[in-house]
Amino acid sequence: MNIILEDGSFKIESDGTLKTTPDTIRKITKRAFMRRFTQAERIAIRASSDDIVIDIHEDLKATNNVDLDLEDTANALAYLVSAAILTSDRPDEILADGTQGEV
Amino acid sequence: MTINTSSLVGGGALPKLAPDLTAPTRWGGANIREVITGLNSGGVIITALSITGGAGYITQAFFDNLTAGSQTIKLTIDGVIIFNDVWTTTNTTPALIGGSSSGTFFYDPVSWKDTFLLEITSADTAFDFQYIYRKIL
Repeated sequence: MNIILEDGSFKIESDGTLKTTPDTIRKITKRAFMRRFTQAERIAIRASSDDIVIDIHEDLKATNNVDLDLEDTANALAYLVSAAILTSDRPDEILADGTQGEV
Repeated sequence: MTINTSSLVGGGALPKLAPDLTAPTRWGGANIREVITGLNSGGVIITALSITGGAGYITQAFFDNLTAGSQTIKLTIDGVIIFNDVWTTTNTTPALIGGSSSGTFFYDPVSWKDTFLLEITSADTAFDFQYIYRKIL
């Protein structure tokens, strides 16, 4: 039997399992964020001579964590699409909810 | 005849609800219920919910994703079996406790002093149970 709650003398049990909804993770480490890009995409970002792409890269290098909900993050990805470094479907994939291994 | 309420529940202070400091967020929307998943009976009696250690009450409870048909419900309150019989359910979300719908099996809330035990025997091997519970201090 699974213990659902144990609070002092109180105990709630069931042969089932309590459904828990983990909090949505929207902040991940810089390394985890970079790993969401393919190797070809990372190389293209580093090799770019576009001032804005360089600025995005430098800004990313200066941070510890990336907020996936930040407007700047979405704008940066949109620019990488316009610079033909990312395809149009990639921002949604890159901005997907984080996992415990990415925090 | 006068009954002093302080004489109830063994005398002393009146019973009161346990505080629920998360109530403002917890009581809004679908998160109001606790959800137990993965119940697997397969014709064997299993415990859907056991609460021990003190008084409380359940205002609403229902099974979810339960194949309609004959279920055997065994409800034991404070060690006394108050129901142990077949309940014929007609949909996949049959209401067991709480008068939220005309088809609820036990229309009134169910309360207890020390222990609550709900067991079920069903042919189903994968179903869920949802309930609203408050502790009484």
